[in-house]
Amino acid sequence: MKQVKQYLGRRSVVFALIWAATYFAALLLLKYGAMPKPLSLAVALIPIVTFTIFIYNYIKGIAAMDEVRQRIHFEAAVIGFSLTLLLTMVLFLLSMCDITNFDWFGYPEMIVYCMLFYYIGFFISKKKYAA
Amino acid sequence: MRNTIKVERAKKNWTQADLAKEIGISRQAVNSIETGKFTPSTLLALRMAKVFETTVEILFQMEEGNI
Repeated sequence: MKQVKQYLGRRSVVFALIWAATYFAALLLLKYGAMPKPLSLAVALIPIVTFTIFIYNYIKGIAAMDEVRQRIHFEAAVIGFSLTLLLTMVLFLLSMCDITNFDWFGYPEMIVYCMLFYYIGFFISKKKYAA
Repeated sequence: MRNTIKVERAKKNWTQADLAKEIGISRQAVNSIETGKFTPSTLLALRMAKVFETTVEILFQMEEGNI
């Protein structure tokens, strides 16, 4: 059982790395590669596939965890989602006042913030149930 | 929720890691349950009771505030 958990955990990490690699590769290609629109669309969609595979494996990995670890990830997702929602709402309201800074709060930065919020939630929850 | 996991562990001379191995969870999870930070599911409580050769009622007791 422990070996299965470790295997699923490692699988999640591998697919996370594949997703990150395809995301940054797509980003570079779209930014610096002059491509026709249909091809650029195809390149933009590749990370969706790798992300879906990663999430599928991640959920499978969480399902194999014990109850406490599942709770930690669940609470991390709740905190991460709430903070993302809050940031999106604040940015929307600020944009209504014509206060926007796309250098700090553009789409690429939002991805980083979303991940950061998840890890904030993860560490808060981990501390809550820590030994 | 109170529990007697520590007492039951002492009877068997088990560490938290030993108990974790017996019931197939992490040592951190055992610690969280033992210190009352986490309430286990019925299935896990039954598994714990089984390895300690006792009942769930002996292992876990409700406190005044829980009723």
